[in-house]
Formats: sequence, structure tokens, C-alpha cells
Amino acid sequence: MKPADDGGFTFIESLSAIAMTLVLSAAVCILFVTLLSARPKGSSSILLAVQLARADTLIREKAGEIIIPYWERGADASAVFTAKLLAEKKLSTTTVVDVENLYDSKKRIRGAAVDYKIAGSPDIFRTCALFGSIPAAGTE
Amino acid sequence: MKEVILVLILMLFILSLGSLAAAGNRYVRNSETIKEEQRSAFSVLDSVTERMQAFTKQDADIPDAGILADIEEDCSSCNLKISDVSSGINTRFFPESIVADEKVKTLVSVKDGSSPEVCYGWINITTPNKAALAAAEKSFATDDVGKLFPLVNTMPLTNVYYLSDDCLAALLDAVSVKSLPRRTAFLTAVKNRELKNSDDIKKVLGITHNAAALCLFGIKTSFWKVTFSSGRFVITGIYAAVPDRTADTFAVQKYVLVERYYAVP
Repeated sequence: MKPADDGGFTFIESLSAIAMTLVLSAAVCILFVTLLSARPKGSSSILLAVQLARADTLIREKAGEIIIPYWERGADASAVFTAKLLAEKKLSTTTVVDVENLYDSKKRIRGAAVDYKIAGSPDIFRTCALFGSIPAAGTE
Repeated sequence: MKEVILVLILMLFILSLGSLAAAGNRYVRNSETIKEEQRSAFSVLDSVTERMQAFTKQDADIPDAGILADIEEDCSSCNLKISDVSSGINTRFFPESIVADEKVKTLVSVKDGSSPEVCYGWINITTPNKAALAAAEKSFATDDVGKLFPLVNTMPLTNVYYLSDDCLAALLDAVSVKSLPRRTAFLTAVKNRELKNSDDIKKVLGITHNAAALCLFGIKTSFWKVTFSSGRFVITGIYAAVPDRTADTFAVQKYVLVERYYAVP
């Protein structure tokens, strides 16, 4: 009778295979659990980035629509702009905290800085946007 | 079997998170691209502003000729168009006596789109609209008219080359230019583009002291509208002519951008 030297695994081989499987399973489990716990955070970060980009674009668009007639100083421009922002339905997840005028070196009103919060984030973000008009009068 | 399902769920999670990240990233990148395109469109506007300064060198702004034609031709690739937006009847800034004239009123009240009413213009210091001047003084909190420059200046209110015949006739009536030969000569000179400076206007109309007529009729445009396309944007800029305060005779010192709009058609 011939000895069966080519069939099955040795004890050491079997032990190594079991150990490797255990290690791999543990790694997969850890990865799975980590992924599960990180998913909400990852998703909300991505959503926040999208909401932030959307809010920034909309604020710039709305500011671009503000035209202070060149025959006026535009003292109420930021009030008009704020009202326009608050009426914007696409900014429903955004809360405007503060709006302040931006002036150029000649003290002419050129735009507005908007501080706002995005739902789900404690941070306050700021967008500086230019109005559509560039005052010509009363400056030279 | 359990492991297979677990791996499948894991892959599903990875895929969903990956696709969410990709979509979010794409949206943010798109916003950045639009902002970048808008920035580059406005930088084209800056170069148009530089080109507009060439208008200061010509004494008369004549339709489809001179600097205007040159700029339009040079920038034909971006479909650039320049139009006069201040030559017409400006009910806000024209003197009350002209706005109250019956023929002018009739012209302005036309509702079929052919009304010569315009909304851009300066206040002429010699024949100001008193209500507009008072409103400007109130808005800028000053009673020193000099501080309202360039809103209040010496530039004639219209460029005769951009006025329609009806409008010209109504305005001539409004400023009491009644002599038929003078009126005909004036209309012919406008038609043949013979008026090259303000002295020509005085000579043809035969006036030396009619302040209203001299402040009303000019050959330089005070506000230009420039429209062109850049990338996906259509940009519109409104340029105002700022007169030279130091020059002895009337001259435009520079053109400044007072409004700018962008739109995606």
C-alpha cells in the first residue's frame, strides 16, 4: 500500500488557513462597522457641500440682480437684497444671519457680505457678492 | 452564504456612498466651473471697457461708423453689439418744460414699443429737471451740485444721430425752434451726418442763446449698452460717458461701467 502524500492538508496548513480566514473576517467586520458608522457623517458632509455650493451660487445670483440706479446712493440696497434673499424659496435650508454692505475704496456701495447657516451645521458661512451696478455719481 | 450576503451588502454600501460622493463632487465642481466661466466673462467685459475708451477720441458718435463699427468688427467672434440707450426722451432728467410739451407727451405715451422714452441719461447742469436734481441732492445728502458730478454735468442730453425723425421734430418744437428752413436744414444735416461738433449744431439751427436747444442736442452719446456672449453667458454692460471737467470745450474724459448683467440663454 502506498502512503497518501498528495491528498489533504497538513495540520499546520489547516491552522494557517483558519487563522487567515479569521483575520480577514475580522477585517471585513471592522470595515463594515466603520463604514456603517461613517456613512451618515460622510453623507451629511457631501450634502452640506452641495447645499453650501447652492446657497453661494444663489446669493451671488440674487446680488447680481440688485441694480442701484446711478442717480441714487443706494442706502437701502442691502435691505432690498435681504428681503430678496428671504423670499427665495430655494434657500429654505439656509438661515440668513446677517447682511452687511460692501464698499469700495471710494466708499461706493458695491455689494453685500452675507452670513448664513446651513441646516444641520453649527457653522456660520460667509459669501461676499457684488451687485449688478457700479455707482457712478457723487464720487468724483 | 452569510458571508456572501455580508460582502454584497458591504459592496452596496460602498457603491451608494461612492455614487453620493461622486454626485456631490460633480455638483460642487459644476458650481465652481460656472463661477470660473462668469469670472472669465467679466474679464472680457474689462477688456471691452478698455476698448470703449476709444470713443473719447471721436467728436461725434455716428451710428454704424467710426469706433463703434471698429469695436463691433473686432469683437464679432463674441457677437458684440453696441447700442445707444440714452438718446430719446428721458422723463426723469429732461427739463420739466420739455416733458410737459404736448407733442413730447404724445410720443412718450405710445405703447406699441416704438416710444422714444429712455431711462439712461445725465442731468444737465444748465437745464436740470428740478425734481430729479432735488432727489439726487437728497439721496447723496449734499446741496453742492459740484459734488454730484458726473450725475450732473454739461453734456447735451441726446445724440441727434440716434433720435428718430418724429422725436427730433417733437423736441425741436419743445425748444421753440420754429423756423422751417432751419428745421429742414437741421434734419438734413442729421440725415447726411454733417454735424461734427456743437458749433455745427449752433450754426445750422442759427442759435446762440437758446440754452434749452444747446443742452438738448449733442452729437455724443452719454450711455452705451454693450452686449456680447462669452462661453454660455450673455453679458450686458451699460457704459456712461463722463465729461472732462477741466476741458474748455465739451469732451468726454472716460467711459465707466455702471451696470452689468449676465444671463444664460
